[in-house]
Amino acid sequence: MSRLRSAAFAAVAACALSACESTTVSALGEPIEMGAYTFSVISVAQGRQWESAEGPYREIVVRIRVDRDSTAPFTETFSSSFINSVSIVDDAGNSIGTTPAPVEPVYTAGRFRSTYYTCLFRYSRSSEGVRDFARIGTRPRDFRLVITNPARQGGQPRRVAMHLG
Amino acid sequence: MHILARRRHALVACLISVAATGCGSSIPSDSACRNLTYKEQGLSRSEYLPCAGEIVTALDELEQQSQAASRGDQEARSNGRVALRRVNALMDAAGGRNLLERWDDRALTDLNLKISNAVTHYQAFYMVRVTEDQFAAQTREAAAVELSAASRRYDEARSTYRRLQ
Repeated sequence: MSRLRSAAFAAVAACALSACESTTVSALGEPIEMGAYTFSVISVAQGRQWESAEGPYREIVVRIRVDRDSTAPFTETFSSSFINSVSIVDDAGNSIGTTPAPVEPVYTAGRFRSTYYTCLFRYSRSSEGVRDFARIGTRPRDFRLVITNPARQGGQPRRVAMHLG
Repeated sequence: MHILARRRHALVACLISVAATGCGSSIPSDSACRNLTYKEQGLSRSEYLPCAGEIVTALDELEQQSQAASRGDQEARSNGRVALRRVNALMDAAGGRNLLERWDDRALTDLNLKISNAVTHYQAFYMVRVTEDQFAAQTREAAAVELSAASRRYDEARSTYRRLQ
């Protein structure tokens, strides 16, 4: 039993380590290869901010340009491939996720597609992933953008992280 | 022991239901609805019409059984359900939701919409359980309405298919 437990622990540790190792650091404008896509993060901006009954709401807006889309017709789109795969993380451990939304999409090959996608991170005290609202980031430079590869191919990174500053 | 036995029973019941579903909805390996490759413009007539023919043939059977079922034939009702599962399985194999996307050949999209509308009404017909209590008249009327709508869409689908052949 104890040998089994040790093996399980080793496997979990190995998985955790390999996950850490496979996070690639990228920067604004750099091409990122993930699944059937090549894309780059082209801009980051502070979105709107407003007060509500539960306190402030804030937004961070990240724009992505898709340079290559090799998906088969009538299958995936950039949005459907990256459902909940994009998040911003701050030093306090808050993590806010979103799904890229197409900008002015055009209907082609059975789906609405676009060259440009917007990731709108909207958060408040009660948002999912908010652990420490007192210390939560308020400006883009307080966050790291983390994109998880939904369908890793060949030597592609499992995860890409970049500072939004 | 009781828990183990109960789990085993649940597993067997689960396997039986999975097998039954599979048997009811299986389509032949040489079906024209299998392995259709969607292109940018969807499917062409030469690619899709053989599959559409299989779907319409299954609809013929479904219509016939449903009419008999509406007259109280329980065996026809059971056969009708099997035919309905077959139509659904063929549509799933042919692309599922992609049948309702826009293809360049609008006549094929129109045919698919008519087939889909017919299937929706047949499904509703089989969902209505005609009772013999104080609600008998209402349930019978509801079933008749659904079957009438299904038959109308089926006729439209069949005539569209014949026109395209």
